[in-house]
Amino acid sequence: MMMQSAAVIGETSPVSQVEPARCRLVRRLISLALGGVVAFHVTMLLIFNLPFGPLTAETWSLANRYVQPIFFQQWNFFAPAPGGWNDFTFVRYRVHRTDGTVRYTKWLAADSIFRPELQRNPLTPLAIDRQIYFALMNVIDNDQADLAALRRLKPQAQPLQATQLPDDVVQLARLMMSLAPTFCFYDSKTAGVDVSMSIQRVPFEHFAERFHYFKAKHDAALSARSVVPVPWIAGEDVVPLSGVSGCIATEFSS
Amino acid sequence: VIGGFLRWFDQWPQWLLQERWTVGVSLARIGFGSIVVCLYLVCMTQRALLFGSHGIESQPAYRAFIESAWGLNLFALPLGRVGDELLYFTGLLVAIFFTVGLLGRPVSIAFALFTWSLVHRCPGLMDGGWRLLCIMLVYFCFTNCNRRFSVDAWLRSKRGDPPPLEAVTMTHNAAVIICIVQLCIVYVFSAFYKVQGEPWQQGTALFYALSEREFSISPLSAMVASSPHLVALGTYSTLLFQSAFPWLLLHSRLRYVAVIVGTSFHVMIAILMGLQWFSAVMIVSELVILTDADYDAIHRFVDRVKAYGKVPALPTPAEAR
Repeated sequence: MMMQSAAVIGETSPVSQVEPARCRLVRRLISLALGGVVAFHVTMLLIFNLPFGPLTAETWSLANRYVQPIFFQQWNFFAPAPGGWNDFTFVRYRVHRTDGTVRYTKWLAADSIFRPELQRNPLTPLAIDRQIYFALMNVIDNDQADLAALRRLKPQAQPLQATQLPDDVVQLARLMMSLAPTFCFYDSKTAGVDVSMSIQRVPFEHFAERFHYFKAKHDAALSARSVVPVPWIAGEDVVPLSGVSGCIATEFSS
Repeated sequence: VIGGFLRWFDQWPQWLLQERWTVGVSLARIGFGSIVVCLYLVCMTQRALLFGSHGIESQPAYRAFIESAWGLNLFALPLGRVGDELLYFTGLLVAIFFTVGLLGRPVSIAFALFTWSLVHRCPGLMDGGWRLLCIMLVYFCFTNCNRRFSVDAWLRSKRGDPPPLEAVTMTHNAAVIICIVQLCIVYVFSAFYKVQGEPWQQGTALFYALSEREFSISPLSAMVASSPHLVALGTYSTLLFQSAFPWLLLHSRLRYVAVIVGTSFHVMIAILMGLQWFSAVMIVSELVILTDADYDAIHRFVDRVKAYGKVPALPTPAEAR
């Protein structure tokens, strides 16, 4: 088809023969360049998404440098297996008084308190443990004094020293640390506050436990799963968060 | 093979020259824009805490975090309280402009930049859907997503503007190809990693996914999890659909199946697991798959359905004669 059109143009005008030929060349060069870009981009994405192995070992660092900044992606949703447990997170604050006495708040079920908020507001863009942030934020935004206190505290907050915990729990801990003023009553006799956190990890009921007719066929899998302990994540039932006491004491000791 | 390659090599420039996928890309523009406008509105009352200089993630901590990956984020600029507010509402305005299709490519680029910055500023926001949206918006900077259903298109038709340059059209087509391949990568790799897991092989994975408190927000999810047959059906159909997705796109009729099944799949995810934003992004992304001819066919089909059952007008006496 292209040859035909060139011939027709050539017959009509010798001058215009040069122009379409140049156009065709430019067009072909652009299309080649675009084809190259598409091929390169798709290849990089494939290499980046594949597990590290013989096929990708040599080119993975190049793909990583190319994909990581803007096109970073990970599509292993619920794979290779969905999580097998639920984490229940509790926090409590220890308030140091200037007279040397110590008071404890009750344990706050950080994730169940705010569950009704999630049910009421399904359009929120945050996932459920992030919903806790969201619900807390609603509380804070309604109370300008607490928000102001949080903003004063935030720049001085120390990073959490609990590297074994899952990311979402760490985020929750940081949030709860920041939110100490919301849950504690500060007065002139408050010397400082510690935040403690307890996480109870409860494995799901196994599929075969729920559906007994299934049990006979999968006894092996059942026994393998039932040895999973129900752990308290660190130490006993409390994970102390470092750096909190100093930060709040500085702010409120006067 | 060589002959086929040479034929393809010869036809590739001509194929790129014809503007394709304008309807799908324009609809996706409206969809993506609406999603981001909704995000701005939903986060409106918490904007200072989520994205502000003194929010959950303080600016120094955030800057240290992004230095390792990508040093640019508008919401990490030290602008102060007023600057943060200005940035937020500018972002909202840009999102509205993008949705209605105003000011063309500059707005597309600004929208991609603002959305990327907004979503990445608050790590708690990030999930697979927002990640895909940010990537797609980079591709959309190279598409002619304002060709249809936009203020720009209306202005162009009023002024009688010429069609876009050939190079622009070719770039548009190449960008849409990348969008579609990206969508295929999402599904294929999702299936690829799933089939390696024992619960997916046994057909019980959906039970565990729905048992996570994070994803069991609806009474329907408890209902599905309580039925082993529904669990197995859901698990295997997920695997089947995700692994078949790219192959469905190769046939013009099966493309409809891909879009219909994909949309139903994500509606179910939204209802059962509460992942509304993720589902919305995936459904909107799938609008790009259908070609302009496909949309024309759908339009004709809808017209036929509308006309079905209507009694045709009786001929006038003059016509009867």
